[in-house]
Parts: sequence; structure tokens; C-alpha cells
Amino acid sequence: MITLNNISLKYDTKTIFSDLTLSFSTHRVTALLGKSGSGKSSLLQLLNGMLRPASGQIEIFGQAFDYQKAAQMRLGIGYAVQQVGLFPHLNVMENIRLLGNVTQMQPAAMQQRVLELMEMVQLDPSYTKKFPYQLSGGEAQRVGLCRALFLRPKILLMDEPFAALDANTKRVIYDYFLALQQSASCTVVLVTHDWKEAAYLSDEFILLENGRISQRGTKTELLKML
Amino acid sequence: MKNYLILILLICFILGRLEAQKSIVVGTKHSNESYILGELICQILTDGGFQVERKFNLGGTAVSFEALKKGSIDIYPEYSGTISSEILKQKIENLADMNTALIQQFDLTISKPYGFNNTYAMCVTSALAKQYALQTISDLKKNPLLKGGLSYEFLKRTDGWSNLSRHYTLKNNALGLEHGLAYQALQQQEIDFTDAYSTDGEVSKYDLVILKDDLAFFPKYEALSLYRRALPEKAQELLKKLDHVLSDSAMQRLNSLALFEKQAHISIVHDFLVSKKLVQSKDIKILFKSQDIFNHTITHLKLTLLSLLSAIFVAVPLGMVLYRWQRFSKPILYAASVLQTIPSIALLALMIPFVGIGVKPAVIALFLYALLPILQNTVVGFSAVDPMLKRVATAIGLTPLQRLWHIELPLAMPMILTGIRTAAVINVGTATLAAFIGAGGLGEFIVTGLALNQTNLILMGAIPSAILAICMELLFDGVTQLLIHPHLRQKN
Repeated sequence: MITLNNISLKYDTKTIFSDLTLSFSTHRVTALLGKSGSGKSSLLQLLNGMLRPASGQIEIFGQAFDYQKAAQMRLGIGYAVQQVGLFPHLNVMENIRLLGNVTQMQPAAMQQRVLELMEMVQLDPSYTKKFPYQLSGGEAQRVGLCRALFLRPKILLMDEPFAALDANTKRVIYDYFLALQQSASCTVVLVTHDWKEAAYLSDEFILLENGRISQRGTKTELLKML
Repeated sequence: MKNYLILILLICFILGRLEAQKSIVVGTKHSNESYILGELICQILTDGGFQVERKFNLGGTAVSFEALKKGSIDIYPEYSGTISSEILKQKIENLADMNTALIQQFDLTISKPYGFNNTYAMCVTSALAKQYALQTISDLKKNPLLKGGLSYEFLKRTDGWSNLSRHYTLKNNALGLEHGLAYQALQQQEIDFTDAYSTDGEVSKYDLVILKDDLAFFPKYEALSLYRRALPEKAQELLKKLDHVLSDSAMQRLNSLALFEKQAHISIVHDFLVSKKLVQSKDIKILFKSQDIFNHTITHLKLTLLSLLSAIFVAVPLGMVLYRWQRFSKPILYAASVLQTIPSIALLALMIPFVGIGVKPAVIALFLYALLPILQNTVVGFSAVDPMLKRVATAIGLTPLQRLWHIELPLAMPMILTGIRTAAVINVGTATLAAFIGAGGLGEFIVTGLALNQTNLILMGAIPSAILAICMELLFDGVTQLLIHPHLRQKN
């Protein structure tokens, strides 16, 4: 369980959250819905310590987020964003195993893990040598997912990861995502503005409006609202 | 590879030492007359059986005297007036007293004067001299309407116009004029008299008459050899052949042969010495051996690489620091830019009081020049890294140090390499100027060649340094290929 207790967040002089309390269920995909400016991206960044609340506490599986060890904490939290953010000087293999490098994993183990992840998203092993500029949008997003899941994080944070993809690519990649999520059984928080996407991918949803929860419910409830 | 390089440097060093022990090193300041006098010394010594090495490119009095004191050179031609005003810093007219002071203070000694006195002088065209019957400076007083065009330096100096006119109670008007233009202004009768050095080649070229300093205003600038007392007896004996061999007009003529007829100093001096029956006539042409090219190239490389490497080690980390703490970035970059604007010769000269002459100041100066391009490109390179990538790197769990090492440094690398490349090219070029402060290198050929009107010498320096510049480019192409993936390379 991930919980936010009485969180307040200000950006410059603007209050984004005041006294927000909220939790995410373990092993579930929770969609964070809302218009732009509703605070959904900020909420996501609170979860991995990229933003620090003015007051309140964030607990991850019962442990308060330790900002002194932010990098260490983040290694257990996968992160995927719309722009993917693959590093242009590293090839696919190097991008995916980067966190393995910095945590001193054995090369053989890294190699194996990369190929395993790539197989799950059906990327041919020949792709390991390709550089990000040689990938299509869908391929890059799949590599991004592999990178986010490399260390088997218990939590995966996703900020509109599929927004830039065309409809056909989306459909394919949704299934890869669901397969990955089930095999890794991690807790996912998915920020999206696309209700259909949320309904397809998530188990639960939270609708944010001006920094407050205006509605939350299950997949079935969401489907009824469409 | 590195071991070989060290071995080669060591061998060069030892060879250089052996060479230095055998031959007498003759230095000169950076002026035409000095080159002629230096060449006189060289040829007299060579004729007497000594081997000489020419260091004909030492910037000025400070550099030459420093070099002599330290033993990087054994002898150089100097002027008595300069010795008293700039070296001993006390007014000593008598040469014997001057010699005693030099022996006591510096263990150096002087020869008898070569015969001419290269001091400031007032000169007029011979036509004007005839018209007004001008022979002495006092004669100007009788013609107060004659108008002077004087160099700015002469107007300012204590042994210049204001004291001269007071000394002679002259009423003539004088205006400031660039020295190079004064001779033409004389020809066109825009001005009537000007200041000159009494042995300027122009005096004989333009058929000018020097007015006699009848009231003995100007200090004496008699040229003579200034040398270390450790100079072999026999060499000191040989130098006596140069006592009183050159009159003012003879010196003017030699200067003019070099300056206006572009004759090689070597042959000018040789012909002069043969005509005076001081040396045997023979074929002299080659100044440097092929081994010297190799040695100088190695020195040049040493100067360039040493300064470049130290600049990399300082500027790249400093650049990273500046990128992190942006508020220091501007002032430090400005400071580095200011360093860049100091002309190379001036920067080299500024070093002398602090670190003397030779390799050390040259490397420091080159190091300072290399700082800016590397520093600037490092800061720019880091700042140009996509902020989104930096955010992602942090968000996935990299520590600031890991982010720097794995993400930012590689992404900034093409820009940093471009900076280093720029610095390297600047250094290969600027290192040629290091010859002015006795640091050696290929500049020694170029500067000496320019000084002595010897094209072959200039080429001996210019060709290897061009090759070095090309090698440097190739080296950086290689490094870029090795470090940077093609799609990330800077397009130039």
C-alpha cells in the first residue's frame, strides 16, 4: 500500500494540494485521471520524491519516504514517461541495463534480464545494438518499459506513457503492458487523461480536480461512466 | 606507447645537454642590429674553432639578461647605456667601472665596445643640412623656424625632447609622429628634423645627416659583448677582434643591407668580416642540423601537450563545477576571456618576473590560453544536455554523481572535445611564440629565420609545425571516433 497522509504541496505561490490524504492498493493498476492542471503529474512526482511536500508524509509499504536516500528509494520505483527519455548515447541494451550497472549487477545476469524483458514486449534481440534514434515511437516506449522494470520494482509510476503513440501501436503496447504488469505483479500508478485507456488498463481509478479527489472507484464503475 | 614517448624525451634531453656543453650559446635581442652583432660574435667564434648555437630571438633586455644570468646563453650583444639604466640601475658612464660592477653583482663581464654608439640622434636631410649649414644640434638653435617631427617615445623619455631642448635652449617646435612615417615626412619637407637611432639603416638609405651632439646631451649607447666570465679564455681572446671594428656609418650600412636589401645576415656579416680580414673567406650557409628539427619538434610537442593536458585537468572539472554553481560561472568565464585577450607576446613577457624564462613560463602561458575554450565548451556542453533527460535520470534512481558520470558527461563530451581541439590548435600555433622567451620549439627556426632573412630556416619551423597541426587534427578525429557514437558527433 502506498499512502499519502495530509499532504500539502505548493509550487511558487500556487497551492497544488492542501491536506490531501489518499492511498493506492498493492498489486493493482490505479489510473489517475483529470484535466491538465488538476495535479495528477505532481501527485506522481510526490510518490518518487521528485517533489517534496510542504507538510504531510508519504509512506511506501509502511515506510516513510526517506529523502536522504532518495536515489536508493527510487531504485525500487520504476518510472516511465511520455517522452520515454531514453539516453541517446546508450544503445537499447545499455539503456535497459543502466540501473543494473549502477547497482553493480553481474554482466551475465544483466544480459539475461534484458533479453527476458525484451522477449516479453516482443523486441527482437537484434535490437540490443540499436540506438534510440533508430527506434519507432512504439519501440522506444517498449524499451522504456523494459528499463523501468529492469530491477523488478514493486512500484511502477507512469506519466502518460502512451499518449504520443498512434491508435494501432497503443493497442499492441497495452497488451505488452498488461502482460508485464501481471508477471511482475507490481503496484502501478498510471497518469492519463484518456478515460478509455484508463478503463482498459486499470483496476481502479481516481479522478482529480483542482488538487482534490472528486471521484474514485473500480474499473467496472469507470466503464459505466464512459 | 607511453614508455616509448618518455624514452624519446629522455634521449632528446640528454642529446640536448651534450650539445649544450660543447658549444657556446649566443643570444640576441629581437632587433635587426642585435642579429647582426650576434652573427658577428658567432662567426668570429666559429672561425676560431668553436661550435656555436644561436638563440637569436630573446624578446628584449629582460629576457636576454635573465637567460645570460641563468646560463641558458653564454653571451649576447648589449649597449652600455642599457647596462647602466636597466641592468645595474645606476648611472655609470665609465666602462671599466661598469665592468667591475657587473663582475661583482652578476659574475658577468663586458668586452671593449665594437666602436659605434647607437644613441638617439637628431637628423635632417643632407639637402637641408647644406641649405642651412647644419652640423650640430646647436645649429638648430640658430634656425628656430625649423620644425621637428618626433617619435612619441622620444617626446616622453627623460633623455628625450623636453630635456634636450632645455639643454640646448632650443625654441623649435616639435610635433608627435609615428616613427615609421617620420622619414617620409622628412623627404616631403613636412618636417625638418626627426629623432633616430644613430645607426638606423634609414639614415644611410634616405641620405640623412646626423647632427653632432656638441653639448653631450645623449647618454652613450656603445654596443659591446656582455658575457659570462666562464666563457673559455680562447673565446674571450677571439672577441677582442671585434673591438672598435664598426663605425656608426659602417653599422648603418650593415643595418640597411639587412633591412632594405633583404640580404641574409649571415652573408652580410661574413662579407664584412672578410673585408676586415678578421675571418677566412669560406662557404657558410647551414645554421641548424636535421637533428635540431627533431629536437625542436619534440620541444614544441612537449610545450603544447603539457599545457594542453594541464588545461584539460583543470578546465573540465572546473567547467563541471561552474555548471553546477551557475552564479560563479559568469565571473570565472569573464576572467578566462580576459586572459584570452592578452596578446601572446605580452602574456609571455608578463610571466618573466614571476617564473623567469624558458619552458616554464611558456607552458604556463599556453595553459592559460587553453583554459577558456575548454572551460567554455564544458559549461556549454553540460548546459546543453536536455533537462528532460536529466530529470529522467534522477527519477529512475541515479545519484547526482552517477548522473554526471553516466549521462551528463558522455552527452557533453562532443562539445568538450571540440573545446579541447580548439585549444590544441591554438597551442600549436602560439607555441611558436614561446621562442621569444627562450623556450625553444619550432618557433626558434621561424623567429630566427625571420630575423636573419633566411627563408630556409622559416620553412624548417613552419613545415613541421603545420604537420604537427595536421597530426593534432587527426589525433582528435581518432579520439572522437573512439569516444563518440557517430549520431552524436558535432558536425563541423
